[in-house]
Amino acid sequence: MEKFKIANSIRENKFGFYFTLPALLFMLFFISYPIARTLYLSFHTYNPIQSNEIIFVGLENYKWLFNEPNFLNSLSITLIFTILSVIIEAIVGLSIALLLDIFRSRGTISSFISKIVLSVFIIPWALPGIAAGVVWKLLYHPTFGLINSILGRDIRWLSEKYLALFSLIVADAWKTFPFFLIIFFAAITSMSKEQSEAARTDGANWLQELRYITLPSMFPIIVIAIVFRAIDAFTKIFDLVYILTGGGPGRATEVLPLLIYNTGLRFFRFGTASALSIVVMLFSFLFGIWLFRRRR
Amino acid sequence: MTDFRLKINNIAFITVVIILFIIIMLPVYWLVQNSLKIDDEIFRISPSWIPINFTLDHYRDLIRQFDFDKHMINTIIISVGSTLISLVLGVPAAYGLSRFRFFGSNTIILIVMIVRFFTPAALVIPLYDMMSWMKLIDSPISIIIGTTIINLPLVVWIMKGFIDELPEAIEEAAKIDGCSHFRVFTNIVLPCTKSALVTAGLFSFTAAWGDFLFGISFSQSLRSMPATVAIATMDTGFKVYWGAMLSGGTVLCIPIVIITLLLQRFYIKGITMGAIK
Amino acid sequence: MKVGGRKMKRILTVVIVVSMVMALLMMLATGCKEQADSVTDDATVTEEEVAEETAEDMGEKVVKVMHIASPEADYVAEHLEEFEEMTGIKVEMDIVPRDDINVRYLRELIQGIGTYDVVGGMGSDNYTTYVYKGNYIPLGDYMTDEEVDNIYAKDIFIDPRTGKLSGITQYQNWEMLFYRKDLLNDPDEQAAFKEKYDRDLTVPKTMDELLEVAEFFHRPPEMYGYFVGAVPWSIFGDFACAIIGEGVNISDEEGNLTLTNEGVVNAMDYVAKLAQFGPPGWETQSFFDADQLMQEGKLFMYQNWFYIWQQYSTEFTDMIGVAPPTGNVQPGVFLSGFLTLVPANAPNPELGIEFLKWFGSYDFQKQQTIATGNLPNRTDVLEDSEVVESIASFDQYKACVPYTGILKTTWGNELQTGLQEAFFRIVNGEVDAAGAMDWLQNEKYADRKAIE
Repeated sequence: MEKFKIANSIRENKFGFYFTLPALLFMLFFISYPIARTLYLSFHTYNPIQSNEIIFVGLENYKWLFNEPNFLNSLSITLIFTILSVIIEAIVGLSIALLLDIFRSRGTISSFISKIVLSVFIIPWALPGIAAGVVWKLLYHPTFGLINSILGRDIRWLSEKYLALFSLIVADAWKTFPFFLIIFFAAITSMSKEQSEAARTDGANWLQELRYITLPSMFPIIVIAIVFRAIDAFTKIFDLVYILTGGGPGRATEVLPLLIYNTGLRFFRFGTASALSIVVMLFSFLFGIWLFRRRR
Repeated sequence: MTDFRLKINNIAFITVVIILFIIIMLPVYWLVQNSLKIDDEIFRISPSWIPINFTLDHYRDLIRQFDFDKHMINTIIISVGSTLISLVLGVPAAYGLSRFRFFGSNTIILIVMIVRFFTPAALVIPLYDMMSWMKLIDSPISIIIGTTIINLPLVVWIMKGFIDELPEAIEEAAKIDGCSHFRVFTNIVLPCTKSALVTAGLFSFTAAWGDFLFGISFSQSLRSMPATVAIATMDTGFKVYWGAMLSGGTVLCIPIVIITLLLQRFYIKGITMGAIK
Repeated sequence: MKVGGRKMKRILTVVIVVSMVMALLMMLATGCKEQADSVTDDATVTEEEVAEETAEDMGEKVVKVMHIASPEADYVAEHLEEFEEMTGIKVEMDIVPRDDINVRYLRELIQGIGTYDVVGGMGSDNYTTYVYKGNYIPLGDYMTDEEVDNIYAKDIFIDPRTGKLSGITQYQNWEMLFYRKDLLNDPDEQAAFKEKYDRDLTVPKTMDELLEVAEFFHRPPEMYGYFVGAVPWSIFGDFACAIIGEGVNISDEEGNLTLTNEGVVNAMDYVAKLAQFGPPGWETQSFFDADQLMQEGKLFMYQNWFYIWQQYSTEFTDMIGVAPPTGNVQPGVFLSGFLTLVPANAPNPELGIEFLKWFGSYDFQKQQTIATGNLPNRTDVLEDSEVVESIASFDQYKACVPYTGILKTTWGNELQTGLQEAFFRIVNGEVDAAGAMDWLQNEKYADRKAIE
């Protein structure tokens, strides 16, 4: 392949290693070692409050984990959150992207204006999660919140078991839909217009155009975007939950990252928390490997 | 006939955009607007849409009572530090992985992909242990390290994707002329990657700016606590300082909004590159 | 998409200018802070940080104190000046949210990272943990034997490793029953109650009486019969009161868990039943919210800590009354307070000890009791006539003194959430109380001891 003309010999190739070395050292020290230690701790009990002893317990932590309803509870909550959240965001993002594209292709607006609209809509995605959490907490407030005031009712958005999760999903959807919007819009605008023009001259209306041409050709992008966003939602949801519900009511919104944090840094059961971390890291491992294979 | 349809289209578009704009920007507006109201007005049963009693008291309290300025400085230190380190480590690594094929390079790419999809919370537990014996608890350095761990894969990903697309002709010519690999990197490749650099730096910066997990895990006092954690601690369980939370949130968001609007092109590029490539 | 050099430069200039402007604004704002400090508007107290950074730069003595967000911490914040005048030591006090404070205790008292000289705000769920296992400088080393004996319930605070007094609590506290005495004493209500329950309407003493009265006055949405706030640090008090009220504890002498004990099961069952009489949203609320409701006249009775009685006895004299907490075997007097310790790695331990001594001084304790209604940690102050007079219905408080107890375990926080989980299982109808406690003891906390 022409790709590697710049360094053909092995001697030359080792320069690549030098370039990568600093990052590699960093990752070795701050990623591999922690992972190794987590793995190690997951087979022991370690509770800093009780003692500095680390006692080997074999698979106890893992057995306990799978019997412990908290883990299964968190797992299901996180899954539900991921699925619903991603679906909503994808639909919203796709709709707005299509809308913008329809207007753009009809000549109503120029690409310039659509770019401006797009840039404003990115803002929720860029905002710090805490700020979004604070505002939504106020919006959801049962007495002083805007939502209840508009609806004229007294709904406990954040303190009822299933409603809290739903409220969380809505807040997260608001924050993250721009991700899909950007990707889909980029995909739509870079599509070749020949097919749609041919369809239009054949007399297809916009709905048919959508169903038979636009969506199918966007399908791969949609899938990839959804998959990426899903793994992100599954692993990184923390800020919003912490400030909106703190995991409550009870444990109704205790997502996996929050469970790990609580087990480790609130109850100091490092052994259990490590086992939990390993199980969760497994997802990342598997996904990373799958993606790597697809790319090569 | 077409004129009329054009007008309808225009009106429809503008209406739709305005409605969307209102819905999407409402929370942002709500944040800023409420930070300018006096407490009594925030806690009204039917909240007002425009502050009736305008006040800057909460902003004043932020500094006097909550030392928020010091927290913002921590946030800036952490964001800048994390971005710099991520770039310094990640860009050469991306170049190395893109242009060279050496033993283990594929493994490294695999590792980058895996870490990209890590659960940060899972890393916090062992890192806490590490930071404890390195005596870095309650130091901005620990938070910088944490955020860099999360940012680095994305930087490498974006930069590598970009460098992969760069034609090698100039680099080859330079090599033939006798430039060392390092010279080629700094004088030829780097200048061409400016836009990708901005994108990668932007993403790192935004991620570190809004970081909460590492902040709350490692920080304890003014020494290291970033603004995000400071805002969260304004909900003490005993009192909730809404005014300060809202104004703090606004202050935290202003630079991000400005940067987003100015550099939106890079955001857009980054999101598409981050996912597609 | 190649970016033209000039455009790039323009963007970069804008970014740099914006950041410089922001930095400038912030510097101005910090400049304003020095001036603002001397401005006195209304009597609002700086609650978060009474920070005097310049003092430390000038080589003055500064003691760093950590406290928990609470009315009691506010009281301390208001009186720091007295300490500063008396000793010449400046105080920097950090007030920490309740959810976050446990990590800090661990960091200061077990890992010893040395941020603070004084660590306060530990409730009794943490007493055993840190007294038994913390690394601190024992206050007992700086007190005479008489002074140590003078400390109320001192045995709880003696370090079993050294036999010395570990530290002191800022005050003594337990939950009392607050109820609408105007309604209780109303003849119409009494007649209706007599008819329905075939006994007189009196201040409830046992849990069954409590349930009946709560049910009788439960008239949503204008009034709720009882309040149990289910946030862990709030509901723990309800559990503990009920358990102590049954005359049992969650551990035995050998330190084993006794959660399946009949008394404990009963206690949990009662709390679950009482919670049903609460307003919507109680699942995520705390006793602070109950205060609000009570003052609005929407709650008939609930249990809460002392601090609120001061306000009730002065502003709501005819409306709200106080009584010892209920219990089937004895009043469920669940002792707490804010334990305060000097960590072993404190940067300035001598200053920390000075601070604790001020905390425990006769004057401070007396003033605090008179001002806040919280009981002192010294038995001599408890007998001071001014103090006795300052607390309305003092006899109700005195009646509780023989029954104080705590739940003895070294992992109080975790137990707190465990109890809360078990509680929600009962409330959601998944199991009954016996089943929930059986699960808690034999599955969730299998192989664990109360004292670890």
